[in-house]
Amino acid sequence: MKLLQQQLKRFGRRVRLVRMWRGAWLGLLSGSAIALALVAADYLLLINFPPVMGLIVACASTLVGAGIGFFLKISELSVAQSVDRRAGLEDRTASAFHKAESGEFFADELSGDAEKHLGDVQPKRLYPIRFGTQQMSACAILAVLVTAVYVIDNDLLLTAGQKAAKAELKEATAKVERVVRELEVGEGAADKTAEKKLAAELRKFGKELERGRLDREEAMQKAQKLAEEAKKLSEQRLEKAQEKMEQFQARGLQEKFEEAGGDLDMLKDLQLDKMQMEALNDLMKESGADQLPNNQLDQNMMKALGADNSASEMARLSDAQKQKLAEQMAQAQKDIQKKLESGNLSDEQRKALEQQAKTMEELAKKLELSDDVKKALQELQEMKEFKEMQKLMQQMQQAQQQMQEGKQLTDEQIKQMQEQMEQLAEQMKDPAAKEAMRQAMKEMIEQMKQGNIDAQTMQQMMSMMGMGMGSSGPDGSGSTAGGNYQGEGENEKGDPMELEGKGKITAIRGERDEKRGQDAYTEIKAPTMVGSRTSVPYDKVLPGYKKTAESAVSNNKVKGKHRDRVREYFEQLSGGKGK
Amino acid sequence: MNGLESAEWFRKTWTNLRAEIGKVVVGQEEVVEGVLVALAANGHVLLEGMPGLGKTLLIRTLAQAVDLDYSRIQFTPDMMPADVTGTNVFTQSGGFEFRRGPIFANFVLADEINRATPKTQSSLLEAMQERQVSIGGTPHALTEPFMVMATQNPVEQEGTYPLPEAQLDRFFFKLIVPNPSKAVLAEVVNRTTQGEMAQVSKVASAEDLIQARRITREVSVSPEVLDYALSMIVASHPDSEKPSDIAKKYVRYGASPRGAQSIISAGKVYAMLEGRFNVSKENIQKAAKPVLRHRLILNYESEADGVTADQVVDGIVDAVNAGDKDPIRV
Repeated sequence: MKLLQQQLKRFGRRVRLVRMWRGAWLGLLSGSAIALALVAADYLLLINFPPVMGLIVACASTLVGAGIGFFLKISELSVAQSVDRRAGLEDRTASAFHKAESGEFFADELSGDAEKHLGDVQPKRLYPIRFGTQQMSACAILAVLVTAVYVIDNDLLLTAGQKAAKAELKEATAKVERVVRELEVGEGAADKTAEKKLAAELRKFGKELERGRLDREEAMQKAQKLAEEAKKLSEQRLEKAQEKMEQFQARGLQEKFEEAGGDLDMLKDLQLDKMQMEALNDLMKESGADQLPNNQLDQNMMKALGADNSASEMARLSDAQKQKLAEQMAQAQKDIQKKLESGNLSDEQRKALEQQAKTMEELAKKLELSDDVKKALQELQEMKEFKEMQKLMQQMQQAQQQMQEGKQLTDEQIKQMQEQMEQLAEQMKDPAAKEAMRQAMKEMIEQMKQGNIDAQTMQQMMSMMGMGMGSSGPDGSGSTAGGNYQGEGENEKGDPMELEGKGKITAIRGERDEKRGQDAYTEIKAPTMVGSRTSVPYDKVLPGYKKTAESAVSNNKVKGKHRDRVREYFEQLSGGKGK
Repeated sequence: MNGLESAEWFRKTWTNLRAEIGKVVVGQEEVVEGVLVALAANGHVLLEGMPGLGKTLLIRTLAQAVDLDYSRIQFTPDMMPADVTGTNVFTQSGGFEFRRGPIFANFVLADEINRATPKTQSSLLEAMQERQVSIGGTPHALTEPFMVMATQNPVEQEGTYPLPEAQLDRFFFKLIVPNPSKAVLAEVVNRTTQGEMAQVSKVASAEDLIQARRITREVSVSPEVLDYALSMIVASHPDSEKPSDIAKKYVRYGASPRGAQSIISAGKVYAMLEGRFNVSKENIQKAAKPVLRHRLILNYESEADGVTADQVVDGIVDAVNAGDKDPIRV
C-alpha cells in the first residue's frame, strides 16, 4: 500500500505540474484578451486604461492561472482512476486503492498487481506537457497586445516634426491630467457624479489632444466649454455649501427650540432674528405645532411673532383664527386709543403706543375684506331683486315676531305679503335675474372658500338674502335663521355627546295634533358640521328617520289617510326602494 | 492455496477445459466461453440458435470433459412436469417410491424448451433457483454442480410457448449461437466426415468446479466499478432516475436485481480468466449483452423499428460510458 501511495504521489505531482502549465496558459489567454479589449476601449476613448497596464494584466492573470492550477486539490483516488483510464490498467489501481487493506482473499495480489503495472507507466507519458491550440491562441493574442502597446506608446515610427508635435500635445495632456487629478482628489464635493463626469470629459479631452484627434480650433472650443462647465460646477458647489450652512443653522435653531422645551413663550428670550423666525415657522409646520388648538395658537403666535409678521404668516391663519385675531386687535386698538386720549403719558410712552396702534392698523387691514369682495357685495346689494327680497324678508320677520308674540296677522298683511312673494317669484322666473343672483352667490361662496369672507359675514349675508328661510310645514308657516350651533345630542350608541360646528338651524312649526286647535311644536334639526362639510352623511341618518316613521305608522300615530303619503315620502328619499 | 496459486489454478483448469471442448466443438468461441463463465458463476444458460449448430454437442462435450452426469430433455407440448422432475410410483412392495426425473443430473440439456407448455416450463423454476425439486411435499435436493442449459429455436414459433419473464430471469446468460463461417464450417465437415471422432478427456471434477466457483467469488470489485455496473442496470429502466434515451424509447421493463448480481458475477469470472484480481469496467461491458439481452422486455415500438435487445444494450452501455469521465482534466 505504501508503494502504491508513493506511485500515486508521483503521478499526483505530475498532474499538478501539468495543471500549473495549463492554468498559466489559460490565464495568459484570458488576461491578454481582457487587456486587449481594455486597450482597445482606451484607444476609442471609452475608458482610461494605460496600454502598459495591459501587459501587467496579462502577466498577472498568467500567474493567477498558474497558481490556481498548482494549488487545485487533487485526491489520490482521482489520480488512481485517471491513471487506470489513461494507462489502460483496467481499474487495477483504483481497486487496489480501495481493497489493499480490506483483508479480502486477493487483497495482496491485487496491490502487487497494481504496483507492478504502475511501475511500468511513466507519468509524463500519461500527462504530457502539450503546446496546443490553447497555447497558440494565447501567444497570438499576446502578440497583438504587445504590438498595440508598442504602437501607442512608441515614437519610433514618427518623423521629427510629428515627434515634436506629439511632445507638445503630451505636455498639454499632462497639464489636463493634473487638473483632473485635483478634481478627483478634491474632498467635500457636493455632487460627486458631476465632478466625476467632468473629470472623465477632461481626461478624454487630454487623450484626444495627445492623439492629435483635435485641431487647434476644436481644442480651443472644447477647452472653453469644459472651463465653463467647471465654473458652473464650482458655482453649484458654492450654492450647495451655502445650503448646507443654512441647514446647519436650522439644525442649531431646532436644538435651541428643543432646549426651550418646545415652549413658544421661552423663544422670546432667545432673541431670534427674522430669518431664524422663518426657519422656526417651517420647523413648526413640519412638526405639526401649527395644528395646535386655535386659542392657544393665537395667543402664542401673537406673543411669539409680535407685530412684525409678514403677509405669509397671516395667510396661514384660518378663518376662525383671523376672526379671533381681529377681535383681539379691535380690543387692543380701543385700549390704546383710551390710553392715548387719557393724556397721562410721557412722550416715549405715547410714541410707543402710537407705533403699536399703527402696527395694529396694518394688521387689521390685512384682515379686512378684499376690494373684489366688497365690489361683489355692493353689486349684489344694488340689484333690484335683492332689494325686493330684503324688503320681503323684513316683512316676514316682522310677521314671525308678531306671531310669536301671539298676535294674528291681518288679512291686509297676509295679502300684501302674498302679492310681494308672487311678484318676487315672477321676477325670479326671469332667467337673466336668476342668473345674476346665481353668479353673485357663486362669487360669495368662492370668496368664502378663499378665506376673504369669514363665516359670520357670510351668514349675515345669507340672512339678508333670506337664504336661511326654510319651507313651510305641511299646514303651517316656517322660518329660518342661520348661525352657529352648539348643543347636545346622541351618537349611534345613544351616548350623550357634544355637537359642535356650524350649521343651519331649521325650525318647523305647524299643526300636528289631529284634534282641532293649536299645538306648539318646534322641531329643531341642526346638522353638526366639521369644517365645511356635514359630519353625518345623508344616507347614515335616513334609515333612522325612516325607522321612526315606520314605527309611527305601525303604531297608528299617523292618521290613516296620511300613512301612504309618509311611506311614499321615505321610499322616494331612499331611491324608490320599499325598504 | 494462496490467492496467486488459486488464480493460477483457475486459469489453468479453465484453459484445459476450453481446450478439451475445442477438440469437438469447432468455432463458437464466444458461446463456449459464455457457457464456461456461467459454469464458473454457478448460473444457467439459455442458448438460442438454429438447429444443427452444435448446441447439444457443446453440452454433451462439457459434461464429458468434467465427467459429470448429463441428461437431455426434449421438450414437447404434451410433456408434463412430472416428466421433468420425476414422480412417486406405486411399487410391488406396496408403497410409493420416488422415481427421479431427468432433472436429477449435473448438466441438464432442456432442448427446445419453448415447445413445452408453461406448466411444464415452470417445473424447472424451483430446480434452477433453489437447486431442489419438491414432489408430494417432499423436497429432493439436486446434486452440485447443477447447471441447466436450455435451447430454443428462433424460427418455427408456431406452436411454441415463449418463456415467461420469471423463468427467463433465472438464466444467467442468454447466448446467441451464430451460424459458422465458411472456414469453421469446413473444419466441422472435415472433423466429422473423415477419420475418427476426437475423444474428450476428463480435465476437471465436480470438486474442481465447486472450487472454481468459490475462487471467482473472491475477486474484488471497486466501488467505482460496482457503480458503473449498477448504472447500467438503472439505465435499462425507462422509469428510473437516470434512464438512457434508448431505454426510454424501446424498453418496457428493465433488468431485475438478479441481472445486477449476474453482471457482477460474470465480471468476476471474466477478470479471473484474464488474470486479474479485480473486476474492470471492460469486464462489465463484456458481460452486459449476455446478461441483459433476455432481461429487457422491449415495447412494441422496438418491434416496429426492428430494434433488437442487443442494440438496446449497446445503447445503454454507450450512455453509461458517456457519463463515466476521467476525474482529472488536464
